[in-house]
Amino acid sequence: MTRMTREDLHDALKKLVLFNALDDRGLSALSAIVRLEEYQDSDTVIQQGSPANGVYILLEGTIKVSMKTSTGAIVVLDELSPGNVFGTLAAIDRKQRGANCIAMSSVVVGRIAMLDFQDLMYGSSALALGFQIVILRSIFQELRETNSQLSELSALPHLPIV
Amino acid sequence: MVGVSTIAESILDNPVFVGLSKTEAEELASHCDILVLPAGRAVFEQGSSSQSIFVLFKGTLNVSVRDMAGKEHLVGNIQKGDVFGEMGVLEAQTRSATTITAEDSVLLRIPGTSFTMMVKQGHPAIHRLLQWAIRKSCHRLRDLDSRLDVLFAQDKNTSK
Repeated sequence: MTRMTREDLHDALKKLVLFNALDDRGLSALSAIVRLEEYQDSDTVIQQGSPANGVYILLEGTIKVSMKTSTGAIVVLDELSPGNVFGTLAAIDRKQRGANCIAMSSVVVGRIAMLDFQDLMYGSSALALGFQIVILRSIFQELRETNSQLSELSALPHLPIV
Repeated sequence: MVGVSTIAESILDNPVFVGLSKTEAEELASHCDILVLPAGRAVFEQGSSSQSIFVLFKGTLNVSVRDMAGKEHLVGNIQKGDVFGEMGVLEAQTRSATTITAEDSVLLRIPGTSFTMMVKQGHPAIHRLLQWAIRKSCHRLRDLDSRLDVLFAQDKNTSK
């Protein structure tokens, strides 16, 4: 059981820059469909290869994102902190998860289940559009991360997102 | 000056806005303008404030970035039909690159303020635009991810 209430969730989302495309009504509507989940240190939140079960918002704690490459090596891709949205790409593609997400402390996440996610992605209400902006901006964030990792590894120039 | 109904026609011809009704296209058109630019003109410059989102109706743009030494590097291009400039507007950041017309080009300019207003209205045109932008960014992310995977596979420092 989680200690965070709906009101807490609304307030937590309101503080996140990523969610500023949503007004109070939008945040309340979103809070109503977000399922709160709690994990302990070292728990697996998302397992690479499992089917997508929605998108996640990290609300408390830290999560490590790692991937088993095609050669079998485990590489750490990212460390997520509160406010990060994750699990988006597989949810959009309705494919299996591309990476592992492991709790590095006790963690609270909000999960938007697949059906709710799809409703929001295909809708054109103000709430749906605001949510799509959140998702797009979370992808921008991932693009920036991946871009800087690529340039670190390959000495390639940073490719801008235009 | 290009009229609303002419802009609406061009909007409906664009794959981004496929399925939009004539009325919806006209509503979008009434908030936008059309830029007709000869080759060699900047649509926006790196470091400038991000005011608008664009759809390239005709032509090609070159995308370049300036390095610390002030030297311009061509890093890509924008093809007919593409949406661009949305990141600067959504992130409220300055432009991360310069875009210059590589040939005579026609663009739809959607001012950021109109975009925000139409988001609040829940306008279908914005839905189309966002779907396009999300698809484009996902495609890019997958591309970068696979390049990263290749690099990791080559990197001897990665742990088993």
